[in-house]
Amino acid sequence: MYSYIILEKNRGTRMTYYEIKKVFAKTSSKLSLAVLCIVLIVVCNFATGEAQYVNENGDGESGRAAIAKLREQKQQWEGPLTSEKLEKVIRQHRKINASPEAKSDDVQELDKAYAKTQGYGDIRDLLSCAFGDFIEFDYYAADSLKPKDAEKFYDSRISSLKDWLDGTGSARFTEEEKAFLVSQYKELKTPLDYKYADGWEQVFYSSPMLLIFTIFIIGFLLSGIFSCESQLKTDSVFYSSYHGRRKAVLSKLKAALLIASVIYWVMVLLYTGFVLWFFGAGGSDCMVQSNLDGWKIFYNITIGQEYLLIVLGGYVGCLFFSALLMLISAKTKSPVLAAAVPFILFLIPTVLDSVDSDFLKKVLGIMPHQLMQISRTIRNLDLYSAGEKVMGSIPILFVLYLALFLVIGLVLYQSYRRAEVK
Amino acid sequence: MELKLENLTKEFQGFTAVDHINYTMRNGVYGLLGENGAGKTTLMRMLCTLIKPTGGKITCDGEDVFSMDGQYRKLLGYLPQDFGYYPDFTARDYLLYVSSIKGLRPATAKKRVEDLLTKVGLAKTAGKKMKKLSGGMKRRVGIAQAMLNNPKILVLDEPTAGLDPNERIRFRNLISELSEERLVLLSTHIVSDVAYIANQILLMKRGRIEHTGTAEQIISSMPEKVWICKADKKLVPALQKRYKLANVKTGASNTVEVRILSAKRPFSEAVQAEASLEDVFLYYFGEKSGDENDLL
Repeated sequence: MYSYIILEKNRGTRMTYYEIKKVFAKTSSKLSLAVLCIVLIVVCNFATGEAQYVNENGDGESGRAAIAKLREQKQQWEGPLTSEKLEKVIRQHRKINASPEAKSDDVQELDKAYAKTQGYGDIRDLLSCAFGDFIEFDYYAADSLKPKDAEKFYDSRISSLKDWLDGTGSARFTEEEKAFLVSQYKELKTPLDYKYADGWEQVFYSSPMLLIFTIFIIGFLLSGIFSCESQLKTDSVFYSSYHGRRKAVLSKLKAALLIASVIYWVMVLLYTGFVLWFFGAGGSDCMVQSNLDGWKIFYNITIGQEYLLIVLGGYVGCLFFSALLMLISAKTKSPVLAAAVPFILFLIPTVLDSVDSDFLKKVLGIMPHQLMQISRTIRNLDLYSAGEKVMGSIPILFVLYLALFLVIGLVLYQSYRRAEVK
Repeated sequence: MELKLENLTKEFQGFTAVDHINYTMRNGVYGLLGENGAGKTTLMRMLCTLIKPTGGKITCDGEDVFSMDGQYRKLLGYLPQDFGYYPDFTARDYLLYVSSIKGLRPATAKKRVEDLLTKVGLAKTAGKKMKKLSGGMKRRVGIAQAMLNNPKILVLDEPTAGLDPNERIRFRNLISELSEERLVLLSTHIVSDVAYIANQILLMKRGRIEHTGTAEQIISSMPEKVWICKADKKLVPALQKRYKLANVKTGASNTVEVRILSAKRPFSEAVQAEASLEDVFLYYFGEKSGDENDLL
């Protein structure tokens, strides 16, 4: 019995191997992998190319060594963001703002002043967020703060949300949704712990670009898996074979899953690895709100958890898009139409985004493209109510598209199993 | 092994491609002859479980082949009319892949593939990509894939179509060789192929099997006789209107030798000739049946 299972597994593996070989034997597939490598290089360069450190002479430095200096400066300000720490930052900032360099009209002198603010720059930005407008970020809001304002730092986050909900944001939410947002803000454990986390910030920032291109290429590679038999007229032999309507179909699914998974995770890990190598990997245990970009996020999670949401969300999206385009490929027998599916599903929201409709925005908030840009989606204040239950779009996206992936996989298997050669 | 077609019918949107066929096949070579659109391919596809009948059933040793599912396909080898291939696979890879979907164990598959490559004369070109093989070579890979699982039922749909004469002869010999102890159903409109290898011939027309029997029985079933005579070239159109012409051979000084199918002697100088399967084919299906280049 055991040896029979081994033999069957061996045969299944061989079928999967040949399915993968069918995909990569094509020159176009090899070229698309080369394109993916170029995309990875471009995105990594994009993520690291802009990073700069300004030295004490006001000159910009770039490269990994410069980033190490910046990191060293920021690490001096690490620790809990208590009133005392915030007060110290406000004092330091006022002192630097009052210095001759900061008041000078000379750009070089201004840069020298800026150089002194880099270490606490992230905390200064948080102060600007807390005491500035809720929607529009006012970079200079921190300039007008007094040391005694520090104690209002966390309350200000909640009060500015409430002010916004009572004002311009009022029409967007139901009372339950407003209460949910406020309670999420109140549930944030304070004081926040601050650590240098520029590496993660950069990983998040460029991740949508990488994930979207990766999906396009995976889509291109998988578009032919379920239509090649019909395209090449090999379907008669395929379906009339012993495993043709069962294991061979499963092998196709396995091969597709393997190709999508390997390419996706290799891209994600290489990208993450490179960016974190360049910037440093610290700060993953801090709350996302300890960073300028995450200040308004209502999900109370750590930076590391956000990373997991981004890559797992991307993976769920990758699986969903793969399954959908394979289903279209199997039904229409057209790899071209199938390969266009990710493009279409990314293009539609871009076009509809300009339409001013709350309902449409809610629908767009749970469209599958959001999975590829969790780093942006998580920052949106999109809420969905079912009865008294209020939740953000992230859990809906995960559950909905994982379920759809499984359903499509099943439909795909069944439809291919029952296909006729006419 | 007994393959039984019971009231087998297939309709496509009002068009009946296969019309209530009843027939039983056992081991041996069966040649399915018919004009284009007679329903040969539809019948074969149903036999290979590629399409489901709209009526009737196919049983293998008493069991419905669609219910048997994989167990039936395990017995099956099929060379389709439009044999497709994976262009970037080598012949060997292609056969190894088909072996895997036919459920052969890897070690068995490897040996079987090498044996068949030798048998079909492709041992030296097995490493070449399929897209670089000639039409005849691809067809030989096709027959090899059909034989991989040593099938008890071998279905060959137009196996010699598009092959040059040498390839055709080679192919016919190969099929004869492979036909021992199995049921081979061979569809073609190349009459000479069937005459050469089939034990039983099935004449199919408009979805029905009109006549069955050995080549001799089929020939003797034709009510008309075959006559050969010489005539003026100018008379050919008139003769075509009046008789079925099996062949027109141009001779010297505006004369032609015509082969006429007629119950009565068409001319006093006409000489009766022995009827062939090609004459029968012409009689039942008419001049425009089949691939004109291959027919005679």
